[in-house]
Amino acid sequence: MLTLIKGGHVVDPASGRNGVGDVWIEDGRINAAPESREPDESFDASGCIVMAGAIDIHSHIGGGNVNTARLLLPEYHKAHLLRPNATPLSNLGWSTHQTGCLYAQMGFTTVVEPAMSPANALHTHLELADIPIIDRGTLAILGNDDFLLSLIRDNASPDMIEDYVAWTVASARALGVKTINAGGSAAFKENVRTFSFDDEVPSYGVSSRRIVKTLQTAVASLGIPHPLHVHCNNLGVPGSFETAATTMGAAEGVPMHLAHLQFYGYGTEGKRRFSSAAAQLAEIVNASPEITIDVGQVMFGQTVTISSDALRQFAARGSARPKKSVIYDGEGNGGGIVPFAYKNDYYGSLQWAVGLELFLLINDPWRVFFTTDHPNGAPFTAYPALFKLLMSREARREAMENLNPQALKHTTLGSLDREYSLEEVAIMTRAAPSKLLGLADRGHLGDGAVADVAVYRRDEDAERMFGAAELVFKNGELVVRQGEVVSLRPGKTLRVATQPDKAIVKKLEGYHQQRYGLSLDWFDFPDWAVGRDEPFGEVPCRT
Amino acid sequence: MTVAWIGNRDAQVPLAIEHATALLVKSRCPVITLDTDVDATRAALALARRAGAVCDTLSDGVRQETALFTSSGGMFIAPTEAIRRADVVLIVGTLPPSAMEFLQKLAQTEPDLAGGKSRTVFSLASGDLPDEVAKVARVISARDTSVSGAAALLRSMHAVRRTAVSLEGFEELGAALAEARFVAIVCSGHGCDALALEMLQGFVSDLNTSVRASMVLWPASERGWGSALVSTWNAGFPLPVSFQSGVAEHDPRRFRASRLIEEGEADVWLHVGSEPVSPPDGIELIVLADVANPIDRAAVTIATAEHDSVVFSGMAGTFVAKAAEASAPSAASVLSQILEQLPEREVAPC
Ligand SMILES: [Zn+2]
Repeated sequence: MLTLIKGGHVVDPASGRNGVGDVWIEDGRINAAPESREPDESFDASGCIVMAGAIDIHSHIGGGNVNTARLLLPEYHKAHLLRPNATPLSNLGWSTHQTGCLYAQMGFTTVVEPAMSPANALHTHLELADIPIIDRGTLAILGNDDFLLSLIRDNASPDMIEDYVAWTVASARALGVKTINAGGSAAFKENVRTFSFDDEVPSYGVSSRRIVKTLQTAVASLGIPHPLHVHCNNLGVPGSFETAATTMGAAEGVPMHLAHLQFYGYGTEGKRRFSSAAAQLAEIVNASPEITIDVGQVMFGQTVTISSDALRQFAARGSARPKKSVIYDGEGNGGGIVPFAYKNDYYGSLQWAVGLELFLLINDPWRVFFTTDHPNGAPFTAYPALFKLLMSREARREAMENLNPQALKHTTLGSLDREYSLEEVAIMTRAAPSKLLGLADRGHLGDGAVADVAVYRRDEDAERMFGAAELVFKNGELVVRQGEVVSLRPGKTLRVATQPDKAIVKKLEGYHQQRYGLSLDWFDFPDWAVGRDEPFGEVPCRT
Repeated sequence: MTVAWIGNRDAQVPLAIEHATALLVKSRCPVITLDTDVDATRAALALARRAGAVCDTLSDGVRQETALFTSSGGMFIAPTEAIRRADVVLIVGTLPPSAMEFLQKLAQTEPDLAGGKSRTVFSLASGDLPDEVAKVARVISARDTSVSGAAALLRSMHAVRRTAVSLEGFEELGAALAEARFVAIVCSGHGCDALALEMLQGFVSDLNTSVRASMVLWPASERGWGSALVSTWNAGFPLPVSFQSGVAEHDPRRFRASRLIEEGEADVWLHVGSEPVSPPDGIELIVLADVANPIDRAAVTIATAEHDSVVFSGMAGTFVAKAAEASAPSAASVLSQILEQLPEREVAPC
């Protein structure tokens, strides 16, 4: 079947296309040269912008902690159903079904859940498989688990560590590796309450720095396309920009991704000792080509913070609104769920501004990624409003009128005139994520690419434009028309095909028998367990 | 081999499915109760959406556990992590049979991540414990006090507040808590109601001001808790969830299955799971369970079996895959066949 999307303004940074033209789809793939054949179906895209489907690299959409948040907060979902537009979290996208639909309606076709505890991998994949339409991927968390910390303490060989990382990625069906407050959750279990980059986990004598460097090296030498995804220590703490700066300094030329940098963009100036350090961080990012970051923009309103950073969430639980929370000491990784409302007071205004400063001060759109750290900074349904803020300084000026002027004084936001172009938006949300995650088959409209296409009716108001796509195709199938979902096709979960060594499997089997009295089967699962036909898509390692 | 019955008469499975479907089609208020695996829960939720039914668990313990989360949350630890870390264990209330192997492990092993400390086990209002556990557990007695009362006493005595009654044997526990590296409170909705669980969470919170402490919440029903979790992601709500109005709604009182059944609001009751059930008058009961005989007074009984399935495991603290072969159909496949035969209802927008 040959499909033509005709006469739209095509923005495809990977191929350099930026002008009116056609896009052809055949059998689920982009066909760049259909010769002079007649299409079987044709869609008029005149007056529209045509891009590849967007890719979200960091959004907490499924797994144990996300589901615990749903369990903790049934009132939000209920509010959503009864009074659609006026209640807290009314657009959160709470069930797996809604998550797929709401993402697709905005033209997003691939989303990465960035925090899967390997011990909980099957649960994560059961949820991801229930999200319709879009493809998913997920990052396995390492760096607080006894097995790895013991290997590092005992000076295990790099080969042994690589084998363990490869086994974890393979058995957890992950797309990459993340470390979250490396060593912090393990230290918290030993009653440590603050933990920095050069602090050591007591029983192991291993520092956070050493854990991060060990994992960064292993990920790079295994050829896992996505560099180590780092959630730094001291999230949200005044002065945390120094932690982020130190962590970036430790990259030492090897690729490293820092998650939700906004939450580390805080200095200690001013009466409240809470100021923006976004400019310093942006300068470091600009000067460090091996560093990529995503922002984790804060938008105002009720949300819930979901994080595997148990130490940080334990400290934050006093600020829970409504007053309930969950802190979990898991096997290896923990987590915490703390509902929170961002207000336009001093603190909220400053956080909002720090995120935008990072977007606007980091020059290279290939290295700054569009996220709200859903739902930590804001639900992903706030994306259209965020696109507008990035593309219009007038929209920012208007928004700033309602915010705390004292807070804004401690930022550079008022002086920033930059406006994102459509091409830069397409880089940040399509071409760059494809490169960062090693998903060569998407994020662009080149010949042979998966036919994930988003068509937006051109509108001066970027919020309206990106809020409801005119047409969305997933694998060539029309899934959204005029902002409405028209097909609930199943997507796939993308995983990297690492090849673990047999010796490590034997070692792990012995470890689990000895420590838990349980077979390794308890920590692994067969593909059929997901309960869907062909649930996984494979992404090759770099050679 | 007979695998289905209409009333007490043997029936072919397709005929039994047809009969069950007809009952659901003419029902004013169908109720589905579940304690089952992931795929069967997914299928039951899809069926409930189409039939406008209420889904719930029959496990009162799962209800108490759900209420702990929806009302206040708390601090929790994975059982496997507690085995390796907890030097002080306090078992509160009775635990379900599925927890006994875990309790034995706690009693018979030493924590390897507790800085060389050995484990001391205490119990409070825990009923009959397995011999290996009873042998080592130091019993704290609250005499006739309820479990929630005992939990409140625990908190007060630890805070050195004066109490009218006291817990016998608390001194030793108090001393152990002061020296603890990691305290694990082990309990379940099986033996603790939501109030007791909340009290214990308050105690955990108090302990965390000086040491580390957390709760192993062992599910009263492993499959029931699994079904509740699947509902939570699939429908956005824990059980009970109602699709009567066309969209998912959660109201733990209004949609409680046992209430709908007892008070005669439900007219058709579809049960998926192995607990014994018996219908009151005026309700048509359909049972999908691993049985060899028809359920007494059920309108339809279909023998099902767990094939390769995914179930919640208390020990793993998460879902695990269980490989199995069986000749009887799976509950998920029977539910899907019923769904296919049900007429389309108006589908709610997402
Ligand atoms: Zn995150």
